[in-house]
Amino acid sequence: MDLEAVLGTVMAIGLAASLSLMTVGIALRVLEGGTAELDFSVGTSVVERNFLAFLVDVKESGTLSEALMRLGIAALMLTPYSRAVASLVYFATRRDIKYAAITAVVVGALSVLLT
Amino acid sequence: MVDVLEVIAISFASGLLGALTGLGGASITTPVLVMLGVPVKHAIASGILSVIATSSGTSSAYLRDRVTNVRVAMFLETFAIVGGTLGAVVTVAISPRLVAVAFSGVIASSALAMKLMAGGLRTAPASQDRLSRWLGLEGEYLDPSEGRVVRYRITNALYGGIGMIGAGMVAGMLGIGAGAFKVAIHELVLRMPPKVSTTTSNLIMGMTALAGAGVYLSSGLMVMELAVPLALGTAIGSIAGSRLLLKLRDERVKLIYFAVAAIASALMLYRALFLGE
Repeated sequence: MDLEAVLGTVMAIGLAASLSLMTVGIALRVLEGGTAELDFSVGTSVVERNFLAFLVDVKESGTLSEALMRLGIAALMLTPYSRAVASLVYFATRRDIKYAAITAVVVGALSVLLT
Repeated sequence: MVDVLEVIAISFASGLLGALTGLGGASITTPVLVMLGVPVKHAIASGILSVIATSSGTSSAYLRDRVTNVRVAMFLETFAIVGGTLGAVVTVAISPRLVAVAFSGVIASSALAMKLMAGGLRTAPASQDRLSRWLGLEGEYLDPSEGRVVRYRITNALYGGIGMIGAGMVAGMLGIGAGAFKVAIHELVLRMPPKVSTTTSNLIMGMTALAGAGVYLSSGLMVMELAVPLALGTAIGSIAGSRLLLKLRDERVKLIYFAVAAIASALMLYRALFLGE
């Protein structure tokens, strides 16, 4: 499988998973709350130390809709990250040292930023 | 205030129009949401995820067509991530009014950048600089409209990378793809062919948006209930737009896009300057 096919598949799967989780999550949110109106009070904003904490706190979600929306957002954010990791694995296994190094910089920077 | 269905409808329409023009939807969605009462920073922080969604959807299709240059994208992303992070940090720190002013300024600049890009053919570089040659920044793709394989070489890699920091800052600061700026850098600095430029820019957008989203997650500005319908509507709209049989890539459609974005941004600016946020 060539690089483009691998990355295209990774991104398609990530997007499909995140959209599915988000669709069910937001639908449940409307049903649970009995209203479709958005609430901008402090309690509905995401305030996490980082992405890792955001992911871990899925289990602390008060409702199923919140848990699914968190998972959907996490899956969406992990899609480009997974694309970078898949690229790193591809370049490394093909001994493309230059691009394995460049991609490692991208993955490393994102990992620091998200954790 | 807005409700979930309104957000999905607005972002679907923006995503659809964005896909038809190749320009993305956040430039319209954000000012429209602000006009409807959403605080500008919340709209930006929550909307940045829709850029990841659009990028992922369109890029997975472009990658199949083998036009995107993944190596060039990966090199430029090392710079774009820095910009995306810095841009988001700036937005968190400055006043909403300044953010609204910056947004309006960027919409105007994007229109100018698009006008610049429509100015005619860019000639391929006569030679590559040493860094671009060392990185092997070249490629080829099958162009169905010309019925032949087009080969190209990229040059000025370092300058392009530095330019990407700026484009990334715009993207991270305003929660948009900043495609117009990225494409301008690709074509004017790196001398990339237009089709490769657009598809590669699409791929990079997702990475700069991820960098910005990482900052907004800890800022308290991202509202999940807003971010989710924004991402959903924009993704579905952009997928629908890219599949329409009539690919309306006419310059007039781009003008309509910018007219809508300009009006929405002007109203957002008015609201920020004269009515408070």
